[in-house]
Amino acid sequence: MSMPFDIMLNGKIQRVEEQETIRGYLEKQNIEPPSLCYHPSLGALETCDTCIVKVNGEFERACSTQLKPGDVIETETMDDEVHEAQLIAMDRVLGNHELYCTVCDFNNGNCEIHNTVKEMKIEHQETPHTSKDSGVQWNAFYRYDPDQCILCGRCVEACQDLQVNETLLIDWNLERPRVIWDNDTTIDESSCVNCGHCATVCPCNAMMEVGMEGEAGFLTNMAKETFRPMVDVTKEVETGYGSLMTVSDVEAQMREERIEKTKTVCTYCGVGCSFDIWTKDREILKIEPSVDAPANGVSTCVKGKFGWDFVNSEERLTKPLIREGDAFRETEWEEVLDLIEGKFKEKMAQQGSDALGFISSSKCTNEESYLMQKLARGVIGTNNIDNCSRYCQSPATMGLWRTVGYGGDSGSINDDIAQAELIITVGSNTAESHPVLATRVKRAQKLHGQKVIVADLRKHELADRADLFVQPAPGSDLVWLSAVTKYIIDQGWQDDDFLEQHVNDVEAYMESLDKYTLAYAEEVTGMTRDELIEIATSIHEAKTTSILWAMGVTQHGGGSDTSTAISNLLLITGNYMKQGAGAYPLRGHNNVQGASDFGSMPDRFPGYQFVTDDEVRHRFEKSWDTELSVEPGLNNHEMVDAIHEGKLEVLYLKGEDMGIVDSNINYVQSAFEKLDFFVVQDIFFSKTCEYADVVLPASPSLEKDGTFVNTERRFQRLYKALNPLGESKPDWQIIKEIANRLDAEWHYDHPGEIMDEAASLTPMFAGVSYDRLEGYDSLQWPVAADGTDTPLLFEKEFPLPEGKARLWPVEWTKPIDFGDEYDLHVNNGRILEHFHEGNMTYKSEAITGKTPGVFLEVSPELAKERGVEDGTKVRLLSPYGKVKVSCIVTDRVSGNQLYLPMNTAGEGAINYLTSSHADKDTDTPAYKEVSVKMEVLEPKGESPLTKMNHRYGNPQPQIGVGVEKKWARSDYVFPGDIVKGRRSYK
Amino acid sequence: MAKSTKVIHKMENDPNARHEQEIKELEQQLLAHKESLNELLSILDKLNDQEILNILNAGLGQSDQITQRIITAVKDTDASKSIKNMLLIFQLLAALDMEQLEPLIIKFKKGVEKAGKYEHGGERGGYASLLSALKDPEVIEGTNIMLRIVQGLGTNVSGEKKTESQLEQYADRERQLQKEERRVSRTSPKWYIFIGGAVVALVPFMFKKK
Repeated sequence: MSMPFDIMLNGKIQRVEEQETIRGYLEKQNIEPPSLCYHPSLGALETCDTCIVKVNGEFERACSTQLKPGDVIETETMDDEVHEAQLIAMDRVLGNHELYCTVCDFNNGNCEIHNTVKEMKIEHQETPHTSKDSGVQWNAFYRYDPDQCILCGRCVEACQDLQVNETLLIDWNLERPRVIWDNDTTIDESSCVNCGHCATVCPCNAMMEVGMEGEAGFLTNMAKETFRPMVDVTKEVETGYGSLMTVSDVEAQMREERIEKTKTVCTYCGVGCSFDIWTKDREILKIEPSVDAPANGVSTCVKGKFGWDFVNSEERLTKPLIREGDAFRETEWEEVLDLIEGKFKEKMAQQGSDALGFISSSKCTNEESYLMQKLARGVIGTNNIDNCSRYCQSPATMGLWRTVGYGGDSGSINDDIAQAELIITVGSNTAESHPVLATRVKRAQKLHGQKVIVADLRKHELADRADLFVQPAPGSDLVWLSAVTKYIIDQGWQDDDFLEQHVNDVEAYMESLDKYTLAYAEEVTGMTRDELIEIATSIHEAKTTSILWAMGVTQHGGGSDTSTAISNLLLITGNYMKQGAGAYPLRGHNNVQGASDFGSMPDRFPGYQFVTDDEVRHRFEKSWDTELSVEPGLNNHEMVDAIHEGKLEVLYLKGEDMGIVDSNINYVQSAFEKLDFFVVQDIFFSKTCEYADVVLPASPSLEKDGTFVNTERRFQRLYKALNPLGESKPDWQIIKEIANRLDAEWHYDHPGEIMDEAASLTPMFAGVSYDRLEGYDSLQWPVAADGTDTPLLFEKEFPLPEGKARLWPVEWTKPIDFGDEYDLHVNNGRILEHFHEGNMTYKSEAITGKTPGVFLEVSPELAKERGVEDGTKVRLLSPYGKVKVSCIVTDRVSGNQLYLPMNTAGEGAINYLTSSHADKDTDTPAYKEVSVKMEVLEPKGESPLTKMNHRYGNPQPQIGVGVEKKWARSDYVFPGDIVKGRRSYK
Repeated sequence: MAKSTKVIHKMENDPNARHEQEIKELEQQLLAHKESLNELLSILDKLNDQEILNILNAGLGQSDQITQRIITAVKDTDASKSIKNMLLIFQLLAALDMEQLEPLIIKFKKGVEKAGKYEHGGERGGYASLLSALKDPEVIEGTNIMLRIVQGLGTNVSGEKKTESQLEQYADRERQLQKEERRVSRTSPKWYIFIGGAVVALVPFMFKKK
């Protein structure tokens, strides 16, 4: 940190404590010059010139000029020359933007042009507004009106350097510059992924969500032919902007009465984006991200920004259903609760509590996860409770429990992942599965020289951008990770001090590595010696390394061991206990972390406290006033087996389409058929519902209060934005009503009370309360009773004996061999636009318009060999089932690798191919170990992917908005120079 | 043994029961707001008597077309000028300083009072009485005030900003630009004539035999 120094501000000597821009300093002094291109998430763009001040007698832009010792800063001068320069800049802005505020959908009190005109008390403009003579660009997500665009370049900066999709540019060579997509094509034909960054950061209505159009204002839905005369009349009668501003301010205030702005947390992946959702009755106008959002700031992906139509879908369940023979009938809550009460009591009396099983959801809130396990344990009397993290992240958690004691990310997205010198991703399609988190890596790499190494089967976006991309053989990650670790030790590059102070079992572990030579790794993984050495050297040379991994690691027979190997590598190199380093298992659902955190596990209470621990169990027994089972229960997979064995006869499952997302679904579905009584609770009639006896209509996140925990262990509150649709209810209310039918006498009126109870029983969350999570406030666990949270998970010690981490020797588990007949390996996972089987995202017409369904990616070489082209329909057969799907040919996959996204519940669903083979330590299905044979069914057909998809776009990378090109234009003169000229003339 | 099924029989609502329920809800609403509703009905009766309800009904039914007609009419007629003048009058009122104006108004009021009391032929007229009035301090003070006003009227205000609508400002700007363009175009022919002359002068050299 630099030393404090003095400057002169408007004639007074001031002390400056740290290096910063003039704008930053002035803001702290509450002297904020006007600024339209500056955005706190984007920094100085220098395009609008409205923040001009005088520095040592010269006109400078406050946003980009660094303060230096002894600087003389003038924001106001006797002869008003600073104000004059700012006015010239602002006048140019108004020449590009027509002020028709009252009939503008953006007039919601936050239009920065409107507010600047008011603050600068501008009554007239010298430069008339003129059209750029280029039509409005529009797609189903957002629109761009060049005639309202002030060319501030925020959208370009956000697209190029924050989202790093590199689609938007300003073409400064045009006679009238404007924003263009790729090489000046339409939005839909470009590489735009519709993440919405551009609309979010736009200071006015130039770039705006289409959901706002004609909806936000009282007068904005007028007929098109009336709009232009109306604007002209307004201009004719307006004698200054003062009255226009007043009228539009009144109108904006009126909008507050009918537009609700509610903070919520995204319900898709585990990044935990939070934002305000703007609603008018049940209509969703837009998602408005906030710089205050701790995980995402102003960033979103297409699903978080535009994927909310499902909430109002006509396909939502709005009444309970009861099976009668081979059909369901709608019924009232009373009848369905009577039936559940009768069946549960009957089964408990006849077969005992362990004949019932409970499956919670990683889509639901922490409070709902807590109540579900409380219902199972405290009311029914069984530990048969699990959640769907069993399908994805349990192996990562296991690997971390073994080595460092806590099963969570070591740090934060912005403070650590974005700050790391080296990022290694293993088996993670980060840019599609965790898009906003990926933006932080892409930005750090592009702007700050972060090195990125990607190990994956498929050349996805991050692989394409990586400094080093390696393609180990499927399921061989443990081998190369261990070989790299051994090579580091062989070179003497291990962090001896760290190992001595903070790690146990070092010697035994080092000995266990003997077999992992480079030659062995080359043979097993197919990687080259040079690649292995480069990875080891990169880790050695980087001060901080963060390793990110996901399902490509965990969904294997040895998923827990590979996760352990990752943590071992980090321990050996001292990459824990410091900012920018650590282990980052990327959680897949919005509340995968929280579902387990809050006890929906067969062997652990909330906060990972063992049910076998007497002290812990007695604490819960005392609070719940009941005796609890000491026997760990069954996990998801064991429950399915128990159903087949006739030991488990009643299942209550919420918010999880287990009948399509579990592996070997033919086996799972046949288990459902054997159940004596099956209760499914969901927002849609899912595949799993088809097997139910009772279907309960639940409410999605927008219709309830609660909290989620994201991949960074961060608690965030979501607030109810809409009333539950029809007779649907929030899950916590349904669980409460069922519990009370079983004589539980629960009296919760609000989820905050549930959190208070959970926190009081869980030392790890002792200080968590709704008061401390107001608005965008958040807490990262563990949270001490006084509310102190833990952004960096390990600072002084590890929560293991002696406060030390431990190195854990692991053996490689060979992936299952399907035999030569099944000659193609099927990689599978997510795509950017659809979430899982797509029951939420397909309800968005806009998203479905761009990506109508599932497709199979086939490599060019395989396509040539088998006569496959875009649109060819094929059948894939594994020993467990078959799927039918149409192909696209792409070099994202190579050789005999196929990629089948999981975004369908239809005949292309991947889990018709997967087996019951699972991670040996956690029972997580080995989804990624699938081999098939392929038959061509229809050689020619329509491509499953429209050419309007972003994958066919043509990105145009550049850094920033290219303001130098603006300055070089013959029609540009710096406003300060104009003022200087005028003064010298006088 | 529950086989997979997608068949859902929707609950058939008994229309009579639903109707009855809705009637009951309405009844409760009416009773809860009885007094306000009575007032409202009385107002509605009067509006109906005056045909206002019919007018509103028709107007709202055709609102899009009517809005367009009104806006077009306002744009194309003097109506916009009237609105603008109204706004200008408001601005003018805002421009006046009442503290300065008030003593003047009081003085003017005094003058009116005196004028009101004056009876034609009641006093002796003639130049002499006029001249003697000039000695009256009140007449001298009044004349001084009048002179100041006359001075003010004579001040050059061309430099002061005129209140114009946005469109008028644009028009002024356009005129200024055109003026500048004309100035440029006036100078341009001379330049072309010079170049043209030079080229013509060069022609003989092009055909000159080497």
